[in-house]
Amino acid sequence: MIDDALVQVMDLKKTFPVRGGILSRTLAEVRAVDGVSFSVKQGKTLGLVGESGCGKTTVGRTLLRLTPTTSGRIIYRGADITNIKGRELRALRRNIQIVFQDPQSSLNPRLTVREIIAEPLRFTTDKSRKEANASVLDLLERVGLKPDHADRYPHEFSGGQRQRIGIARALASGPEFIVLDEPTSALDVSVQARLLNLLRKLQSEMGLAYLFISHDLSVIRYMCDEIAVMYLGRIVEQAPTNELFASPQHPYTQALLSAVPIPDPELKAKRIILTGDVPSPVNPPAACRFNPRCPRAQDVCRKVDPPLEEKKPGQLAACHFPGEATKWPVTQPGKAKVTDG
Amino acid sequence: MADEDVLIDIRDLSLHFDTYAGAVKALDGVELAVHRNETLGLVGESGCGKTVTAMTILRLLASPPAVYTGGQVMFRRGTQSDEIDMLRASMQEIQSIRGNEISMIFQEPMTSLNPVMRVGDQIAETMLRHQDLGFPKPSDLERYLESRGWRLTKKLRGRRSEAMRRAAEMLGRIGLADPVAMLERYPHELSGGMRQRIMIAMALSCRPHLLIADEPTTALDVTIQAQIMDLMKELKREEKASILLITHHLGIVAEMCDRVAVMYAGSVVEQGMTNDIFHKPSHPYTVGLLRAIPSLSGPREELPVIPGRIPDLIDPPSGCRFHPRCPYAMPECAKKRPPPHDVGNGHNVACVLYDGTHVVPEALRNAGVREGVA
Amino acid sequence: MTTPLPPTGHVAPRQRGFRFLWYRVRKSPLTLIGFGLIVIYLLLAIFAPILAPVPAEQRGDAYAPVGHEGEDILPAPWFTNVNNPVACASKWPIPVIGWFDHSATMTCPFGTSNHGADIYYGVVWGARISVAMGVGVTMTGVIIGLVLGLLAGWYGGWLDEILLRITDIFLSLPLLVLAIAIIVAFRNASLWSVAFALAIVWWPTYTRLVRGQVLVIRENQYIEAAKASGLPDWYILIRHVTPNILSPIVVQATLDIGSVVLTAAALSYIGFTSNSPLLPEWGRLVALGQDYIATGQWWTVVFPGLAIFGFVLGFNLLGDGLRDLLDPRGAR
Repeated sequence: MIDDALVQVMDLKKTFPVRGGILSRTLAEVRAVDGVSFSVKQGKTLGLVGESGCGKTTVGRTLLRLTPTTSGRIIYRGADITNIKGRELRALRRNIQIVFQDPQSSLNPRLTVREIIAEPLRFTTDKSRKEANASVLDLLERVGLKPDHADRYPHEFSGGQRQRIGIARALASGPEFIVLDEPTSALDVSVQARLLNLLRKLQSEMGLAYLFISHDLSVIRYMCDEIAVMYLGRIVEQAPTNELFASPQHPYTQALLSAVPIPDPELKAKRIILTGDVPSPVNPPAACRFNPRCPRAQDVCRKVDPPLEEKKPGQLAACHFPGEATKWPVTQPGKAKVTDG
Repeated sequence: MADEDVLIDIRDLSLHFDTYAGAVKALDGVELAVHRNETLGLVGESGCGKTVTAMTILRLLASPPAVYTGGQVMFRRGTQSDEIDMLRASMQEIQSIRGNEISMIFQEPMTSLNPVMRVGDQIAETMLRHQDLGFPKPSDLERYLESRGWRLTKKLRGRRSEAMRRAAEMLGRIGLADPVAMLERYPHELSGGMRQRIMIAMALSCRPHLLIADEPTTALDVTIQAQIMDLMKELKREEKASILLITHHLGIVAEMCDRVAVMYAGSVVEQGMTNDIFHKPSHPYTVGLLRAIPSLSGPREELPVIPGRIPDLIDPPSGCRFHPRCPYAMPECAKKRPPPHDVGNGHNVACVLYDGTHVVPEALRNAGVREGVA
Repeated sequence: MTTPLPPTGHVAPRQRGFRFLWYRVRKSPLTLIGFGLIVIYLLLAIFAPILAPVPAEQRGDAYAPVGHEGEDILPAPWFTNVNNPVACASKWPIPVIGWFDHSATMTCPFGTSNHGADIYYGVVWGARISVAMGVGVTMTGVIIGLVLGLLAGWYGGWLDEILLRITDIFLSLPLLVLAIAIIVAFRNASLWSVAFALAIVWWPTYTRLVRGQVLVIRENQYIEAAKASGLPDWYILIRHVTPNILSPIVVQATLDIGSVVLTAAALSYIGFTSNSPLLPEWGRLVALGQDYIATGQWWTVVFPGLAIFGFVLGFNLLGDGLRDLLDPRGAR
């Protein structure tokens, strides 16, 4: 157990049953999260990046105890919080909060901003109405909104402003750790920039730790100190930000990085274009989950599941053949196309 | 660029929407040209009017509440030298153009395909409508399919067989492994990436001169997005079609487009070759937009931000709609919307700073994407 | 060095909810007509004792008979023989100047039905019955539906399955047949048995409606946010879910008030209603009067029929109007 970690997750698993039939029998299982371990230090940001079906959103929800875990442990400040209930759980809610992705549906359209922000205070703290009100105004200022916005309704605000309200709500109970689930994915570029700046400012002012979930690599790079790349319910690579971008070890990370379109027409990077679709977590492939799409998969990849291990100092990867693509022979040429941009 | 090269010429297009809250002045004097055989990127943030402009080309907007208050959308059909104004043409003419000479694909592949029709039927439908497909001899068809190792299913016999053959051909070209089997599938059996590929196949089935793609990859994962972009580039090369690519993602524009037009609050603020727009952005909005993107390389400093917010289109700012947020605004900016000024090489900027009488501030002159640094 | 946060710009002007709604109601004439009709009926119901006063000795029956027991006297409505008004026991309380001679004996505005019962009185006092029945049954359906629908939609699982199946069973039985069966089960049929029967027939619709809405609302992220804030389930259901599902329920309830009354009238017409002889329920009036159409006394059926028509039309128009108004997409 790492001592200075604020939040630690150990071998977390979450499966969802697929139900059907008249009496809702379980037909199959979706292994949304299949053995994920990481830790987040106080005041730092861990990024969770991956495509649809990789399980990153489920990890966030499970961390918040919004869904029960199937197995594994969640540890907060050294205490195991995986199965706590009742008063303990409510106390936890004060410390770990979440900001959602969709500015449209993350705020109740029938409540005023004041009511939305004050609500977590009512149930997690003992503040009086007056104190709660004062907190609301203070929070609004922190996120860059005005006091007279407090009595308005969500539909009167733009997407960026609504996300700020969502952030204010998350900060209301005074948490130390916030899960940010794609907070800027639904926003325009200039609005996104503002919100990211705000999040960084809040982090340095209040010493918050973040778990930043996104599919956008440039945003992740900007916000995070360390990044974990997820694929089909597992972490396939984990490294500090600079190292990940400078020398990605796992072939999926390499393909992901090369697939991001760069806003510079001169920089025509060599792009690795994977053929095939993002698989669904209902029937994960045997052994290494990436092997059907991997250009350098060999026999061992189809038989033995590579563990997440340190391949370079500070960098973990779950691959039998990590490192530069050019080091290894291409065994499945049809799986990936390399273009000149 | 010679005039015959211009496929679509939008001149001074203005329109507004009648709503309960008032008239939303969505487009204000849009000037845009799409040339033959080029990919033009139309970029802007939400509410800038890029989708509205694209839908106007095919007259897809319902006419109340949309009210056209001025301008023309000239389309040069086929090899004829005369042009037709899409705003004033008859519905019959428009319908003969839609899907045929100009096609469009949309953002949500989940909802763009009819869930109760098989994929093959949907692709064939467009072709059957627009093209005069003769009756091939069944033996020709069988021979053709056998030469490719595909089985002839019952569906492919009969009158629709030519259309189906072409549909299968199209599906093969977009990289699907077993096109004949794909003809029989329903949309819900396929993933988002595949559906978008089928949409592209449908759109290109009649060999249009122009493909309008409205945020075709926004709803897709990054790796799938790369596949689709690659496919579109290849098909465009083969078909010699033009593409009007609408997106808010500047990276996609840099990768795919020959020319770029930047829109803000209902008008085009800057237009030019992709390299010029990225390396020599001139309009203050374009400069601000490029700076606000977090980069994949370079220092991770605080992102510079454009102050203010996208304006309310019911009561937009007077004159240049960007002036309330512009660090270089002058009194004349509020009076009249600036016309596009040419700054060389087909690059034009709708900003009064470039009318020849003003000195362009240093910060703007030095703006632009440097190698490896955004 | 950090730059200060830039101003967040203006917020959309405050749109007063009701004023906006009223503005749109005004723009839709049909909705206004519906609203007006409903107001008329409400006034009839509230002011019945003034509009059609019942002499003290006949207080028990609001539907006062005229003339002699056992005789079928059927005076026509006043407007068919203005010059020769026929005596009518009921008073026309508010003299319409110039139309009636103040000293003239009373006339029957809508004519009379068998046993000389005054139809005008029947219509006016029947409004009370209809309004009470319509609103009462609908409210009961809404409340039961709300409770069951919330439970089914929120908790899902076997609770949902059971409730859904029970609801389906009720929905699969034909409306009138079920109502009749329930009424018959009461040995002394009365208005209460009719109301009870209709309530039982009506609750499944609301359960389904509420459940469907709950399933949609549940997916909104603000519900998850509420859970993440540590709010208990019951609180989330009351404070977050219910207010957001009310619109379609309001629309359905408005339409249903008319439907309930129509159904009750239909039941009365075929005889499944209260046994008390002079109950001024509109359906009953129609039933009693139908024999007289052949002999030319049309007023016995037409006026009560129009009363039903107007009532249902009013609620239908208002309900349709509300549906268009409350549709979130329509507000664009």
